[in-house]
Amino acid sequence: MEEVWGDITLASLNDHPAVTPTANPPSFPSVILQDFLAIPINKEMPPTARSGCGTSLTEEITLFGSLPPTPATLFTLNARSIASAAVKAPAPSFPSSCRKKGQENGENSDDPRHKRKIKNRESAARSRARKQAYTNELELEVARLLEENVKLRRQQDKLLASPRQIPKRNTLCRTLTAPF
Amino acid sequence: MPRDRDPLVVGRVIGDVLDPFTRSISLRVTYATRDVNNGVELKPSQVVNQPRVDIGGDDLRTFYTLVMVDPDAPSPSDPNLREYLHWLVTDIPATTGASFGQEVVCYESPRPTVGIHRFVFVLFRQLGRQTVYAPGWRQNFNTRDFAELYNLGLPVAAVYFNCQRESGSGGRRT
Repeated sequence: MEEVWGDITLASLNDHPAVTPTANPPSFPSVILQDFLAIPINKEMPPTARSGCGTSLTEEITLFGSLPPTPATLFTLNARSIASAAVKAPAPSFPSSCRKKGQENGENSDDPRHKRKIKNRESAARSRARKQAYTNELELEVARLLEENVKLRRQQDKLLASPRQIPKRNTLCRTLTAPF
Repeated sequence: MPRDRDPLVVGRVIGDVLDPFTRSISLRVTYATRDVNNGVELKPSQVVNQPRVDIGGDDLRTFYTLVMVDPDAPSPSDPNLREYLHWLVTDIPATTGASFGQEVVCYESPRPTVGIHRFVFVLFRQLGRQTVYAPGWRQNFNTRDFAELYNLGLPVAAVYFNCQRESGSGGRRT
C-alpha cells in the first residue's frame, strides 16, 4: 500500500513542501493531507472521503483537479507523513475521524496505560494462538495414531489368519541331520 | 488439512519464521524420552542437551540442513533479537540423524528469561554437499535469508515447542 501512496505525487516539486498549514483549505494550493483531513467535516469534503484509503483519495484529488492545474499544486501525498500522522493507531485509519470509541486523541495517548492495554491484548492473542495450535496438533496426532492402529490391526489379522507359510528353519529335523 | 488449522500457522511459526511449505520429509525430534510435537511445553531443564533428531527420506546421497531458532528472543512481546540461532547442522544424510551431520553452530540450551518462547526446528534439503559458513553471531539470524543464501528453497519439515523459564507460571494449565 505504501507504494501506491508514494507514487501519488501531484507536485512538480519532489522535496517536502514548506507548506502553510493555516492557508484556507478551500482556496487551496499548499495543503498537506493530514491538515486537509483535520478540517471540520462540514466543508466541501464528501462524507465518503473519510472512510477508506485508496478510493477516497482519488475523490479528494479530483476535487482539486477542477482548479487550474498549472500553478504548482503542492498537494503532495507523502506516505511517511501520513504514517506519522497516524501516531498511536496501528491501523491505517485517518487519525481524528474514524475513532469509534468517542475518546479523542488526548486520552488514548495516555501512554503507559494504553501501551499496557495493547501489550496485554497481544499477549492474550498469543496465548489463544498457543492453545489453539496445541489443540490442533493433538487432534492431528490422534487421527494419525488411530489410522496407524487400524493399519496395524489389519496387518496382524492377516498374519494370524493365514497358516504359517514360511517353514520354521531353526528346529531340529532328523531327516536333515541324519548322515545318510 | 486446511491451511489455517495447521499448528505451524496457528502458532505463527509460518509467518514469523517461515513461508508456507509442504511437508515432505519426516522429522522426529526427541529430548530424552519426550517427542517434540508442535506446541508442547518443555522446561529448560528438559532441553539442556541437544535432542536426538531423526530424519526421513530414502536416499543416503541426499543431504539436509537443520536449523533451530528462537523467534521470540529476548521476549515475545518485544522480539528485537529475532531470530536467535540455537543450532545449525548441515550435510545430514537422509534416513540418518543430526549426529551424522556437520555441526556448524553448536547447540545452545534454551534459557528464556521473559515470556513463553517458541523454539523452531526447520529442515531443508540441500542441493548437494555444501559448505555453510556460521554467521558472526547468533542473534538476529534470519532463516528465510539463510535459505536463500544457500539455495535451500522452502523447508521440507518443521516442528516447534514452547519453553519458559524454569519457575515460570504462564502457559498451559496442566
